[in-house]
Amino acid sequence: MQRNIKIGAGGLAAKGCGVLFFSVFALVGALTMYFFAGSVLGDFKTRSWVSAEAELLGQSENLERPANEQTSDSDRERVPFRYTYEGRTYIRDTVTLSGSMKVNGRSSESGHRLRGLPAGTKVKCYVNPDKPDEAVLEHRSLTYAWFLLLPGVFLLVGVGGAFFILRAKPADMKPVSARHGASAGNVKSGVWTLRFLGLVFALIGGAVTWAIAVNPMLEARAARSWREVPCEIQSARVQSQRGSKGGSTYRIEVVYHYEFDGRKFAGDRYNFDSGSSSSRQWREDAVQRLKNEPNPICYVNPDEPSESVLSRELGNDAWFGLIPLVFVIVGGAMFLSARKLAGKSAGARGVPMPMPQQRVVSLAHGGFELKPATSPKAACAGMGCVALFWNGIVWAIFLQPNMPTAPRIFLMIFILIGLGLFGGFGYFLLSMFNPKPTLVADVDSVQLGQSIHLKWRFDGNTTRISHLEVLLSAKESATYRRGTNTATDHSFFVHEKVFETRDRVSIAAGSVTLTIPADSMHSFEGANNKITWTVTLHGDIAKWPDVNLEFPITVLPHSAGSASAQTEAEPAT
Amino acid sequence: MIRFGLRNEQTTYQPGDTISGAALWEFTGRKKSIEVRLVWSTRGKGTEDGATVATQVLDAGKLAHTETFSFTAPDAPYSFDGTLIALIWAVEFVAEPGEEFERIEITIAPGGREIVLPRIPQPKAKAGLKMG
Repeated sequence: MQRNIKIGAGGLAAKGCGVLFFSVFALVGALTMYFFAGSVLGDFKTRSWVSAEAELLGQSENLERPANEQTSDSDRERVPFRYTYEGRTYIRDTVTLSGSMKVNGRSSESGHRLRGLPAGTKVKCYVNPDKPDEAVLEHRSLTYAWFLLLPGVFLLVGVGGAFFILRAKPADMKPVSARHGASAGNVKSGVWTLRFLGLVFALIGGAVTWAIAVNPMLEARAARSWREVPCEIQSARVQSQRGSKGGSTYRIEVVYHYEFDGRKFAGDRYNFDSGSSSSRQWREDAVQRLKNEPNPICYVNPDEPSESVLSRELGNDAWFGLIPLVFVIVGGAMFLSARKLAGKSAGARGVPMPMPQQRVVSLAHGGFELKPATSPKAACAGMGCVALFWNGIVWAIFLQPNMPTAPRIFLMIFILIGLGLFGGFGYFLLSMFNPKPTLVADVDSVQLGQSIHLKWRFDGNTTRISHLEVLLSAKESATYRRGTNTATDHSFFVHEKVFETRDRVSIAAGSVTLTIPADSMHSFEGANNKITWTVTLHGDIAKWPDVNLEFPITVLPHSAGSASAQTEAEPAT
Repeated sequence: MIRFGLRNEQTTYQPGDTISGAALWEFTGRKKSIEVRLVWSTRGKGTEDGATVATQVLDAGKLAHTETFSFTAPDAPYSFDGTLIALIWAVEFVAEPGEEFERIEITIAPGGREIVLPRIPQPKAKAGLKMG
């Protein structure tokens, strides 16, 4: 069978691009995971190191560092200390092995606490028995290991995506029914995909919930058995920080000193909350209470006296930490009902009659009002949003002070596009004041080879329209992926002028009967491919946007029994 | 081994016609399901659409067997061939699990003739601002 359609052979290139895309995903995930896992493993190993007594030194102490330590001084948390192991004395300044980093120039919690202690204070350190010049002051909490899940997701998506692309057979090597029907294989792969996605959703949600809600609650609960110890508040304030989106977040910044079993310690933890949030008031109140308290107390972990907290209560906004539970619920529901969902989705694809939805309103006095594909209001609103969005971003960048000239000139292209979009918005805005047509048909849909009677009436100043045309059109629309974009191409196979007039009365209101060609194709609407029939009213208006409205009509196949009969008839025009 | 064919090797049908045929198979391993499916799919520029319209389940209990099948050609969509899109009907024999399947492309349209959409000069956008 000789076809118009030429089937492209771009499958291999697309497959290659897909594999490359997912491989980059997997590589980024794997590399991040590798470095991150190394850090977690290192911190984990310090738990098996030997404990020794150390003496804190002044901040200005010069240190010789092992050659393998690459983190720069400006980034890494440093608290100098001296310790003796197997008769030799070493000087180090490592708080934790993976190097708690300064965030925005601020010390981490542990570094902050240790820095608060005077030089000469005796503290515990942990020495690597295999390399005694390596030692840390603290075991870093391993809760941050949860973040391994993030690069893990990248790795899984990358490997999974590449695997499925490589495993997938070319489309014509598989039955059409396996690609589009509710076949057992289709449902099965859909079930596994949904289960995988559900699991990833639930795991991420669970990890975040654990880190910012459950863990603080458990810590607060465990602290109920800690010892009450008098302390001295050195400083307390609410620290605000501007967020990247403009709002501010607040955290309590406090330093206090206490003694436990004859040893001096400094602490900087107000409570077990995960950190900062936008709630300010309760933090201000808490700081005020701390400042006014004549005999402040803190709670100290008797097993690890360097661990302490001022309040065992969680903040008023602690419940925010439960929001990620939504991910757990949605993910869990996806996982559990994967079979049902996949079956429903596969079944939906098997709709046998792919006809478009009718855009008509049944009228009480008979007839059906056709609705335009796009109303001037919708077009104006859509174009307005696009223009605002585009120009908002472009002008925000363009008006940045200190921008060099070259990028500013380059941005001019985008400024011009933005002005064009505003022009489009203006065009649609003006067209909203055009005379408005109402188009009424005698039937809600029409069969191939049959006629449809249309009546129009314009509301508004119709004398502005100098020429009116009624057009019958039918077109193919094919939607496809081009890189990361979706594009739609159109090709008309019917485009006929069925009526035209310059008579003012006939323009204001009139009617026309048009016949759908019997040997043509009925309306068809797949997810990506369509056959659309439309009636267009086009009115010329001088020095103003024209009236140009498309009204989709539904063209049905021949009724049963008439299909064979029509083939004998001459094609109607 | 699969032998699968339509009665009288007919490949053109009108809506409402009976599409019938027979399938003969001889497998070495047992199959979970053996089906004959009536399907349509699109070809061309757009991403493929398609649907399984009817399925006839054959006796998967037998490793070697001959069985007949029959469907009624649906009213729509018609087989057509356009500039961007073509719609193709097919009858498929699918045995699962495994790679075995056979497909026979057919035409379902009035008169058994595929609708050929004409190429016409594409209209220019008419909306505009005329200063005259």
